[in-house]
Amino acid sequence: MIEGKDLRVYFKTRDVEVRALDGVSVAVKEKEIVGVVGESGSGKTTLGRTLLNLQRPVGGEVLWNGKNVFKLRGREEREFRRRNQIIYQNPYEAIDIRLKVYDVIAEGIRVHRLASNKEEEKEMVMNALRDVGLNPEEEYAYSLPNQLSGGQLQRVAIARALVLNPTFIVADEPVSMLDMSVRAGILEIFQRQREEKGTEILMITHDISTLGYIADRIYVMYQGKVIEHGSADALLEKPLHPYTQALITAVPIPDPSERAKLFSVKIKEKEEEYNGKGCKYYPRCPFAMQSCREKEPELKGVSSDHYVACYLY
Amino acid sequence: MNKLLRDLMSRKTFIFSVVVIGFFAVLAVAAPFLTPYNNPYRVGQQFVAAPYAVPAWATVFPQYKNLPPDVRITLTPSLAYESSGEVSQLNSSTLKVTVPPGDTVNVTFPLRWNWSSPYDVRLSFTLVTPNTQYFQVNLFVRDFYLMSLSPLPIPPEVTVVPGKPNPVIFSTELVNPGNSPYVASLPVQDQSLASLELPKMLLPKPGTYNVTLSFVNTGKTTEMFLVTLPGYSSLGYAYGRLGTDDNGASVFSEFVYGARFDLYLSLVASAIIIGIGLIIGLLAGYVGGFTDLTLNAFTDFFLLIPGLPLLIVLISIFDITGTIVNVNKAVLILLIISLLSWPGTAKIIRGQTLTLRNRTFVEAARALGESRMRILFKHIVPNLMGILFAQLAYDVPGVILAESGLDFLGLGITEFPTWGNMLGYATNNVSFVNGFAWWWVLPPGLGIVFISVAFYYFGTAMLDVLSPYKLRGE
Amino acid sequence: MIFEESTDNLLQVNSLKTYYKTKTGFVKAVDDVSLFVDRAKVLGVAGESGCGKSTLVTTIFRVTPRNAQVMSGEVKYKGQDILNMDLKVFRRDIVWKEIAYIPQASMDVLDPVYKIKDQMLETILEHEDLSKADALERIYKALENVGVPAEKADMFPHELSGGQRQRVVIAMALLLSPSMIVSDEATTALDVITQAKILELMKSLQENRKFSMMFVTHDLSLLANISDSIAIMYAGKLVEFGDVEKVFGNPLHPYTQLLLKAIPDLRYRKQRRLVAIPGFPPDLENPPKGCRFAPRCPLAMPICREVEPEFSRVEGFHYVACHAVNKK
Repeated sequence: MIEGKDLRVYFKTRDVEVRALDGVSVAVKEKEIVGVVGESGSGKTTLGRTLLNLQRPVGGEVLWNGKNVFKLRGREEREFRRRNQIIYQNPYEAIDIRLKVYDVIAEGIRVHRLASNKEEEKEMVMNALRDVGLNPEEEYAYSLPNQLSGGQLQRVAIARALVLNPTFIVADEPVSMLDMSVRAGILEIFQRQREEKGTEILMITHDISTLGYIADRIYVMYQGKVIEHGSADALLEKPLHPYTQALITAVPIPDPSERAKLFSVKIKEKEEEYNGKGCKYYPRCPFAMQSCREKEPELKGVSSDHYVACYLY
Repeated sequence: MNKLLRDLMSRKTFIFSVVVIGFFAVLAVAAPFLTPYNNPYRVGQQFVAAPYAVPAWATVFPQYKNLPPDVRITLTPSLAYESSGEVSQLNSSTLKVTVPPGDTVNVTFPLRWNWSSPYDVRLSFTLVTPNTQYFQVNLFVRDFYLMSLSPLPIPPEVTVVPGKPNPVIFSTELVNPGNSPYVASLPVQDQSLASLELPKMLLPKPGTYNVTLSFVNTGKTTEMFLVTLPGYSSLGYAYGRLGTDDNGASVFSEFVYGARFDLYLSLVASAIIIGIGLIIGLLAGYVGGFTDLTLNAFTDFFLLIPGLPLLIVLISIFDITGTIVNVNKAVLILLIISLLSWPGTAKIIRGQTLTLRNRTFVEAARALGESRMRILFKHIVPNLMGILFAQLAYDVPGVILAESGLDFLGLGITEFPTWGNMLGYATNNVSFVNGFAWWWVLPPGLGIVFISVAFYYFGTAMLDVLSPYKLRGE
Repeated sequence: MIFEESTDNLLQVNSLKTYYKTKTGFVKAVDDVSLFVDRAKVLGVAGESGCGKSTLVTTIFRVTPRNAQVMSGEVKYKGQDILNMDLKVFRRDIVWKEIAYIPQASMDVLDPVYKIKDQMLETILEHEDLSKADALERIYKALENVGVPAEKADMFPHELSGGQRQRVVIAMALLLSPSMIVSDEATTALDVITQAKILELMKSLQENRKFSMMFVTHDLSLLANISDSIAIMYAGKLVEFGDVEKVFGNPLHPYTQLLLKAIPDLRYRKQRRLVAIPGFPPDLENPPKGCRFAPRCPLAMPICREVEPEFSRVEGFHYVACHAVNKK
């Protein structure tokens, strides 16, 4: 169980301060797959990195089994690193491509001294390769990353994480670089991992339709804020925030008879200038009211598993 | 590893660089076996041929066709004497000449000459005269009365000790009015030019010329002279693989030992440069923050020092004190060049380390729980390998150029040949008279060019092959 | 190949083969592809990375890399063979004026050192003899038409958002009123909402101005929303081609069927699981014998591994290259 509370990450570039995370709270509970969706710049990647202590926040805390992860040291820190893994969007970037696949996967085993001898290490690596569907594993183990396709290499990256038996995985756009035909296979690995080992997963994506298939709960982020979150069913079937509604409407449906829907996205064509204090979304929001321009709305529960930050509700 | 090699071998530029670097490396390593002259700037190793002698192979060109090589032969008397009783062969190298009282016996040694005039003419033999006061031995080449040997000398005669073996040497280099009747006979103003003019007059063009020893007996009894077969030698205008410089020293030896020194110096200096650059660059790039700020300022400070002027000043200062405390000048130059050249390398390594540090796979390593040290040595340094090799390869020509520049200006090493020295001395001495001494200028010039280009290609190839991220065009 | 369904054909590709020469042989990037685009219609070309769709586009615009070679086949535009036309004439009379290109508007499509209007001016003045004032007027109008305020013409590309840059690229393509637009992954890098808006814009422009469009993308669901006909490519081959309703309503090729099952569709998220196609696309230098999809195909028969299936008509405007279908 991992929980981020009121996380704030600000990036300073010359004269502007970008609030990548502006008071974001998330919780991933036992055996849950939680989706985070948002457009580029919404802070979703920063959220994943902050939860894993790869990015220090200026405010807020991350609790892992009740312990603040930014204060872990020594053995506890190593244990945290071992049990919490991350999968990146671009596997070619995330893997040191000088190394053979075997060494890529064995790296974690060596760092955490999980194998007592070479044979044990080899067995663990081969098992990991088999687990992610890279057969024959011997052949893959001794190839170089740039001999593999994106889908294959992403499986290697997942194997590298799974070999450590993590309890929590951040998957940052794990399939968006990959061809449609191999995406489902990758998502399946995560689902199986959750079912068999109870691994908690935070799935970060810009594609809400994928989340519909695998997430239990979904957080919608917009410019460093969570604007709506709730169970996948509630959020997808009854999206409340105008942005979430637009996000769902904008997903093209593979059916020519549903054309009208894609072109019914409600959003302002001409954006207003943001005044620095209102709701972050009002410049594009077709329902913007005066109150939206004055103060940012807080997250509010509309039911026990559905929260939204919007003055409409 | 195999793949790496295959990748490298598929690059023409790499093969070129390996061939060129290999060639110079072999030259440098095998220098002692290639030439007997390890420092042609020493007096004893000069005048192995005439000054500005062209390379021997250059005689294939028409304008150099008749230039003589170094010649060293033993002359033999013409066959005509074998029948006379006055001259006989004592053994294979000694003639016995019997001269009746008041008579003169001439022994002629024909010299077959196939070239234009040599730089000098040198004749040597050992003479055993009768134990009397009444004789004289004269040396002629063609009609020139070059030397007169007698027991009671009146200049221009030369003393010999009667009854003993006397080594006799005639050299056009050494002639003066006191030892050569011919020179004494010249007008005074021409006498000093005789050593230059004589070879041209003695052996003006291809042909057969007589060297004559004339034995004169002015006594009352028949006397016997013993004389070894005279050795003829002369320095030629065509010499060795690369001719000679203004001192008649072998340019090939200079070139080979220059290559040896230049390669050695540049490799050591580059290693020092890379060493300092790597440590500073890695620390600055990887640790970041205040360390980066400090090291960067430090680097900038060194970077902004105007290199060449400082180099000249430092060398001038250290040279003076150096001669007192006896610091080796080569070591001095090595240290100064290294200490002034590392900032560029450090900057590049810092930049590369910075980008590497921010790459996803480094963050991924952190997420796996790897320590900073492990990330540094497992992921950062190996990915810098290409840059390191490239830097090494770019620094080598840099050092060679800097060192050669100093030598060229006469501020660097002067005691033994380097390529810079060769170029420096050559430019001071070449003129159209000596054909611009192309055999002297071109080798070090082309050597510097080729080795620089080769190292550049080598570095570029290594950079490409060892940087997987660059290969994929990212 | 003659398509009976082509009523008013603007662009026709006939048995086109574009191969890349490598050290060891040929990569058959586009292998015997035939398709057509009718006047004022939208053809969607879909396929995964490496299927040859980009090579098809570069072949049409004659901008293939140097090691590419058109082995056979022809591309006809309004009946003219544009592959064998003099390159200068082609660049002057066809590109931009007749067929315009909308690439993915990443940072490098627009030159970062020129203002938007200068880049657009260059495009106009290169092809038409127009005064600068007239040309500028046309530019402002073109920008307004794609929903970009005219004052943005004075800005540099990096000052615009991704969506606006994409709109500028579209405006540029339409400057010379071409009869045909080829769009290559034009919306791929955009956020979903922006993508929907851009698609809406392209569709409405296409309907109003009645130009033809060839819309190339890896995202099959996009094509369902904007195209009239669909061509599906796999490993350099055209595997299915037909009317959009027919292809989506009754996909015939196993590859198309599986691909549609791999695409998330929020309507059916509870009923279906996403299905992955097993295996990976083949090496195009040594493609498998017979059907190129056979090694991954669940319906593969012995004949599939021996004989290449013929590309043939099923019923109406619906073509497929599959033994399993052809046998029926």
